[in-house]
Amino acid sequence: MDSTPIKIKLFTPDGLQISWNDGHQATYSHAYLREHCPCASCRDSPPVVKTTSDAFPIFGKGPIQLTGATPIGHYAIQFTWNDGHSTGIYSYNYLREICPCNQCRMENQE
Amino acid sequence: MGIFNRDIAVDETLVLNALRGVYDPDLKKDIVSLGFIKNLRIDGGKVSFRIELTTPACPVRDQLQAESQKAVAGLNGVESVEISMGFSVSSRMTPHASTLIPGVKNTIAVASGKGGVGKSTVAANLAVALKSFGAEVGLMDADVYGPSIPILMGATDPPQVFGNRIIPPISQGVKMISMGYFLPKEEAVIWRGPMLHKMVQQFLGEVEWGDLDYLVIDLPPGTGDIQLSLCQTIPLTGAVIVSTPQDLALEVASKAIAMFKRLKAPILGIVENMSYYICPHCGQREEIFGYGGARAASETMGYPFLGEIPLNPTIRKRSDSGQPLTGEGEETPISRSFRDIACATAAQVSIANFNAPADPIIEG
Repeated sequence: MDSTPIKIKLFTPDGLQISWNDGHQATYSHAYLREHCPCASCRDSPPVVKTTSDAFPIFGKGPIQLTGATPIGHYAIQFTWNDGHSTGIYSYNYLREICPCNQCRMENQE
Repeated sequence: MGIFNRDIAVDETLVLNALRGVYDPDLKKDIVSLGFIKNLRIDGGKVSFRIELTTPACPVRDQLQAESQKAVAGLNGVESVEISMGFSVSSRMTPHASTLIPGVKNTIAVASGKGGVGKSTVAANLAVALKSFGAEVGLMDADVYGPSIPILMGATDPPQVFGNRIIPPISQGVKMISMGYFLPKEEAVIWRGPMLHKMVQQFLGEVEWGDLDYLVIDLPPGTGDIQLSLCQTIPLTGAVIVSTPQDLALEVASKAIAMFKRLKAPILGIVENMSYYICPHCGQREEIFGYGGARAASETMGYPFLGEIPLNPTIRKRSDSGQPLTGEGEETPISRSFRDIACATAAQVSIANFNAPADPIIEG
């Protein structure tokens, strides 16, 4: 319930990696994180996240990219994206809740 | 020193080992491991050192001094022990926060669920009491809707502003900022969230706070934009929850506690205000809002109980006339109860800093 990350690696080949204080290792693709943005406007209408470039770049901005992160208080982290979006404040508890690994998914479904 | 008494020569290891037997009851560790021993000097049989505590008003200060004295004086070969006591307030500010308030070591939010329980009175007297212990203190009035700090502190002249730097007025040695300074009396703040967020950031970042041991932050009641902005802008050292003893107030206070818990801001403890009333005519004690409710609640929830303050006309009069009750030289039962609360709060800050889990390392 009360999870705290020890280390957050923003850019690994698989996306963002978190080592939790209970030993759990979590990997989130950047697109997955952006899809799960908890900010009010994204909750209202979830973003369509592109992971590949369009054939005609003029129709889209290309794949979503994480550009940076800022810690928020003691409880959360805020991500900035290449499309300018930065209003999502991801609490550590929320990040743990949306951990995409099989084990966590099963536990959360129960 | 002759060769024959070399076996009883006092050395550093011997003294430090003796001091390892002295425990700080708050931090539950010996004072050597905690790094409290400074300037240890040994000159033959004369030993002198300084004990540097992490709070200016450690309730166990005298006890630690006496125990250390005893531990070292009992060593073979020690003729005299000279101990000076001091403090250096600990801090757990993150590098990110320290760009905004670089000189501030600790931030203490004074919060409640319900309004009208005496948050601002507690905040003002807490700040002045901490100052009277010798700490450097600031007081930020984050209650934009009902800014009362200028009146409580008796300093209503507006601060000087140079460009985007605000020089905070000083009263009772405490630096202060309040929305009350920027608004005409009859005006009100009618703002939505983003404006409130901006105000919180400016009150922190654009005020010349300088070096502070404690920045006491008086919050508006409830769990709204200002509380959230504050917890997002800086990592709070902790929150002091003020409540009156009746069930209704405690019920709402538990909402504030739940919010701080969610935002991972430690609860330093609970203060019970308006605990009881002593009738000035017959001396009978009347428990208007019930008594001991906050103490009982803090025990149930597992948070420290910081102390209680009676309902008393003197507090009202002194508050309205801008004279906090905890300035230097104030020695009344009321000033003592406020000071005990400040003492307990400082101890809890030191414990919170000691126990705080490390913030995650973020790697690019």
